[in-house]
Amino acid sequence: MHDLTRLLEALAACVGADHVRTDAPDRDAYSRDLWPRSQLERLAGDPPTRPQAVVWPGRPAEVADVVRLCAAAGVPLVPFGAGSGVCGGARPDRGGVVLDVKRLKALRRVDEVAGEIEVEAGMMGELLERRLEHRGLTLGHFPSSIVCSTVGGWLAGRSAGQCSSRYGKIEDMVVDLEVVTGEGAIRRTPRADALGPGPDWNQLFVGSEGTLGVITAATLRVHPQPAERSFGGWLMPDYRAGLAVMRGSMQAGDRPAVLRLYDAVDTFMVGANPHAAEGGGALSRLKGLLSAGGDGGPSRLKQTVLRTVLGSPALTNAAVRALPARCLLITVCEGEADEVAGAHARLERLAAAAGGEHLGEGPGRTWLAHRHDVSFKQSKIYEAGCFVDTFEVATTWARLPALYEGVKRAVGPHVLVMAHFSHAYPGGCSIYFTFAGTGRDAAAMRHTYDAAWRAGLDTAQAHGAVIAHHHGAGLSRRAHMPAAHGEARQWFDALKATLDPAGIFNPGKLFAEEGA
Amino acid sequence: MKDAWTPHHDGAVGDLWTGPAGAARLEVAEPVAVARALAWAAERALAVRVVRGVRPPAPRTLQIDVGALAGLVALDEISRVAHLRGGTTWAEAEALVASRGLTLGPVPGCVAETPIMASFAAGERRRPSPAFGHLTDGVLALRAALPKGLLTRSAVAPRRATGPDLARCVVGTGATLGLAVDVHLQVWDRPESRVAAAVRFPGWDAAHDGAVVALRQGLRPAWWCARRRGREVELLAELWGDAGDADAVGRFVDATGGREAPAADAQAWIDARADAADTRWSAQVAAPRGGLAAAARARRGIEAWDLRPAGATLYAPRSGDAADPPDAWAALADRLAEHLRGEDV
Repeated sequence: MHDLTRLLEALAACVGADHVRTDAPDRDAYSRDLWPRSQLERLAGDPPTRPQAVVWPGRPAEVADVVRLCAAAGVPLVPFGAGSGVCGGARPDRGGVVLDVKRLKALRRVDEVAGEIEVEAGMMGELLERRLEHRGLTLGHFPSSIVCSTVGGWLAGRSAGQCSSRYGKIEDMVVDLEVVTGEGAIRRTPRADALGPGPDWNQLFVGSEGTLGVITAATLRVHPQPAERSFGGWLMPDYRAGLAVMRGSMQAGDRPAVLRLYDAVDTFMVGANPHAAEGGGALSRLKGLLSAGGDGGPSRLKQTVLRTVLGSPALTNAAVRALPARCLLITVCEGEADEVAGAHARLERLAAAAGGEHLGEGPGRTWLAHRHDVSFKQSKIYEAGCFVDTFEVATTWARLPALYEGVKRAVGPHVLVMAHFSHAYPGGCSIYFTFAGTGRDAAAMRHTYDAAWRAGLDTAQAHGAVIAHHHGAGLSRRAHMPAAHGEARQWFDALKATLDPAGIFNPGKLFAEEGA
Repeated sequence: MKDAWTPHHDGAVGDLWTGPAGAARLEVAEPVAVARALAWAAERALAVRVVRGVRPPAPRTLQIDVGALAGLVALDEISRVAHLRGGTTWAEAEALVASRGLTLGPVPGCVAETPIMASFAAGERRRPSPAFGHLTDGVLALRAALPKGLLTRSAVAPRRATGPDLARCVVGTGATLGLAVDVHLQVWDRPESRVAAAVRFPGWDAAHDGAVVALRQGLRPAWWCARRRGREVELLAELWGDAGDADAVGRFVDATGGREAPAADAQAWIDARADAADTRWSAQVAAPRGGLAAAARARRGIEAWDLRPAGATLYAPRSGDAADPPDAWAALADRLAEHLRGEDV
């Protein structure tokens, strides 16, 4: 099909030999992202396909060269940020070349007055936010993966940060993009605030998950660091009462940074003790339990207990339904003093009217201090022979209760399931389901895992919800994408033909290819 | 005007009217009829224009009259989401939700009689409201008819991460990539109070700075503009809020740091903007921060409506020189339309 050796020589000539790697450890490392199913595949002896090479271009012009070379050779090209995606979007399942953008890491421009920055795609999220903080600014984008994700990854996946109710999702922050399209051209999209005739190209590239081009830089809106911040915590009588508070706040036109409502099971897991580290709930006890085995990991007995609990999901889910129905609501308001005071006061009124028990600032402060912890403690669960994953869906306020109940019912026979409601907007919000399960062996775990995902997404679609709020589609939702978009798939196909005529960009992602 | 049209029957689209130089006119009452009309026009390489009522023929243009494709399909009062048919005008839409105590936000007179479908096709940008955004911004779902005669579908949600926002293909692209046959739009409680505020500044930059400070303090007028008044520049705003908020104007004036001016100035501007006879505003030019004064010198009667930290969008009486996208992107948009029509490019 193509002469790989010649291609590799040409790639080395344009980005430097040190920045083209074909050795096994690099190819292995770039064969997957953090999609949990990849881990289950590996455990089942079915590792994902490795790329033929990994390249690290250092300038947009080098990215353009790499694109031109791969297009000429007909070799798949998979853009790669920090690999923290959880849907398999960056897996090079057709082999080819992985293009790591992390050498494109310049903060090209900071304009405090205009409230804009221009930043390259490979900039790590946490580093960007620290550099902005030094200048009294914030992007306001705090995904839980912030320490292991890039600006380019955020844009490619339509990411949301934990403060999206105030600052919006990443698509709301984009002013323009620098993109390398399929013919190897470096293009700058029209500014979002100066659109003329023609589509809003920014919104067509954001979320494209590397299928339409390589995003090399972006101009993003930034904000002054908040002058004030208020924290709130309430135990609501049930999740519906908590949703009423969230809805009331957003529809009044307030913009709290964080509105986060845990269902009864998730409240039990995170704990609602305002004074304890991490809330003192079952999750912290579980973490403690699994960490108690010292360097060797959790003890065999503890692993057995966990597998037993997760091995009977219907029974476990029935048991947790006996938990008190009360749900923890956490709020964070930030901004100028008057705005914060007004938004917080309204939350207090709404929560009191809905029967909430005020817990003071503790839960909000505790959440803020530990908000990035959970993602890094999942490996213990895999070591115990179990799995854990999450999926987020979204719909309107009126449909949320039926969606929540329906998904729990559908997923419950397969796995232990809990949820929290977050990322609130005037019209609705996201539900973030967390589920955990096990199986007698790796193959059985994968079967159970797939069944849980399928049940969850089927049910979400049956309830008219969108199947992803901020994790992207990747491979985990690909089977549901045709139903999600219907004939709008034609637009995607036309975009693909226009921007990627050689069909090299991340093939097979978002939608399965015809005949695949 | 009907004399200009001749009744005709076509097997694909049914009854229509034809006019001179390839003009055609079709009335549609269902989304699928829009899809059929687009396919029919694409086969004949006709341009498409969405209208309400009978208009004069235009050469090689299919006029799709969407007057019968109007109305409120459903109103979700919990989520504050209105499901509207694409032929509904903005004035009709506002009246429909107003009867239930809700609002789409301010509806400028210059777009009031435009069908929603046509506004999306045109990429309507003449309601840059700090509180409510553009009229075409608050979309939770959009169903479109495609040039190949098919209808898309979409779940209703405030945000999503299921690939690119493909629905943007029908915003600002004429009818080349499709037309929005129905939309779910965010609506809001009608305000208990609407007050006008006027603040004066010594120049454009000071007015712009004052507006940005107000935004950063969380103040978001329903709509506003900056314009020259004598040797000064005035910032005019309408503030929507609770009836009990007696100090809304005072907070606004304080935040901007300008000198309070008679509210009548602002009220006159608001009344003029809401007047359905106010159809002049169309030319739009984005000006960076610091460039407002120069732009204002170059254009008479200019108003800065979309004030934001990076600059503003300047609106002027129609002069036919609206900003065009860079050539490269226009060419890409053309190629996209060709791919969508299935042409070999």
